[in-house]
Amino acid sequence: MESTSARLEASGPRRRETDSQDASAWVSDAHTVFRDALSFTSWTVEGGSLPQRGDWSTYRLAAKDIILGVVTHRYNATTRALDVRSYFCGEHPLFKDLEATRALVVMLLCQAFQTGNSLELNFEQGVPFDVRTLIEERTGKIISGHTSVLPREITEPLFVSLSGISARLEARIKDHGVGVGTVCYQIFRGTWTALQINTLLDRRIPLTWLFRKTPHAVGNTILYMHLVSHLCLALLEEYALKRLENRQFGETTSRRVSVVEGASLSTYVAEHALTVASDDGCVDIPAGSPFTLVPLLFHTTAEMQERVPDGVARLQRVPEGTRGVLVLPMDFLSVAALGAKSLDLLRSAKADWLIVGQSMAQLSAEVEQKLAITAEQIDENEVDATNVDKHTD
Amino acid sequence: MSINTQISSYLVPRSLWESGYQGTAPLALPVRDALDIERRWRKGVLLRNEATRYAICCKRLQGMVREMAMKGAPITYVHVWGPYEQEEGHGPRAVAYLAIVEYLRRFYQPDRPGERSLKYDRIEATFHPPGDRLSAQLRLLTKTQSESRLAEMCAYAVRKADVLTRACPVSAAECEAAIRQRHRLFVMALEQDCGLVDAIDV
Repeated sequence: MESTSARLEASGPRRRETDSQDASAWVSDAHTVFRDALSFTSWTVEGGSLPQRGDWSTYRLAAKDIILGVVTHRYNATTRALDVRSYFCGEHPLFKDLEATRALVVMLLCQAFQTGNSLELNFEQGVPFDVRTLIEERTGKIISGHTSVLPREITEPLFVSLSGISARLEARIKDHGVGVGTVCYQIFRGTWTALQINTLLDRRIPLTWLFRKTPHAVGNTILYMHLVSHLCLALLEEYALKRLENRQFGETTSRRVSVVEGASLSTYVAEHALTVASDDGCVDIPAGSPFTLVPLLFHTTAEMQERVPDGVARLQRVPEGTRGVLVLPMDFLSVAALGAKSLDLLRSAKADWLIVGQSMAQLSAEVEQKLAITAEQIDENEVDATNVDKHTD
Repeated sequence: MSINTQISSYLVPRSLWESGYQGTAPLALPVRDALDIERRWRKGVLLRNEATRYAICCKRLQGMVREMAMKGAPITYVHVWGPYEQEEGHGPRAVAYLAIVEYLRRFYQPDRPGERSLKYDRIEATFHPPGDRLSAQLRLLTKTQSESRLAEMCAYAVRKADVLTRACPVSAAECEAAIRQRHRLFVMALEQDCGLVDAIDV
């Protein structure tokens, strides 16, 4: 490493001289990336600041000790596109074909959307072969090897395809007058998931409230409370699914649950039997049997005892051929400890029920935070003013 | 199966509002805090923390009024605005009420002396303490429902309100019925010296 730095230092001035002469010459990607990393990284051991959106930034994609890709990009305020001056991506037998390309393209498109609300990419050295292959594979569009700009017409369908949104969900989102690109960006960012969006649509919540203009808590209270209540329920459903899938945070191996397309109400089906038998849940759903979640929210813990019969009654009204699972927030554990009357009721009704690990206060706080993150992307003047994510996960 | 919003409007007598009931704190406590935030908001203090605090106050109020009802407090009257899936004939549904409120907040400019905009009107508030504020709100509702173009306004609300997505249509007549129902609630509240709290259930 020491000898490499010494060599670079020695060759530094000479390279700068030749740069101006060979400005139009072809530069190997690896060379450019390495030089960019040294020249344009604005933070060093002495300090510095994060790069602004117009600065060249070098990103590295790595899985443990395997470097899969390196890319240097910046936001171009004139063209509102993301310029990519160097792109370096490799395949590895551990991963599926084009997996590293997929990750890098997602990163670039998210960056383009975050910095300029556009999905246009400008590869200064021409669109790389693997990116063209990915586009062809995902969207069926063939890109010429001489092209350097990928306009929104090409990148948006690619972005949607990479996000895993179903065609039906895409149509429903468009029906609400919201850009699919915006929704995909928020899904990749981790703010909302496709399941939550689907749940909200089933609950007839306008997506414009989420992605264009959210009712204000003080200025439009009743609509805001209406929205927040449904968002809390969507989160509750998502947590229940995670628990049923036995999925730990960050892990992808689990009992997979998928959405039944075309059902009037969010309905799910699992490849394996879903079983929970403990103090905080009783679920027994055979593999392949469709089920729906019936989440319950409460205003106070005192109200829980009274609402449980209502929840049990709702379970009886789920669509025919579907099983209902009553989903309760963690606060319910305290009530169960106090009286156990509600638990007896659930047991006697032979209902499937599940308590998730989030209390009502936690759900509300999470909704507030997610709304704040989404709102920052709504306001174009506020979009990435500093290129720093204020809400780290 | 119902998965949509239902709103319960509670008419709470002044005595309960100001003194609480069997261990449940007086509603006046969180209301004072919330009204202070509203006042600052109208002056242009637009802080996210304040908005969050306001939402917490409103949620707390809903919890308190529900708790009072469970303990058997003498709540004057409860009106339930049914969920979207409710069959017709049970009065206007919650979504119709939300649509007309959204319309009034966004587009309505009453023809009255002084302030024409609704900046100082609490049209979309989820609570109305007994007294002057409730009377002011009743005056606005009276003005609204006596508008000659009320049917036209409701038709416009049905077309323009965001809350009514394509999957969730309601009729202009239902919106009109919602505003008349709201007016009746306010008249009853004023006659019996009550405050009003809306609790949202999903």
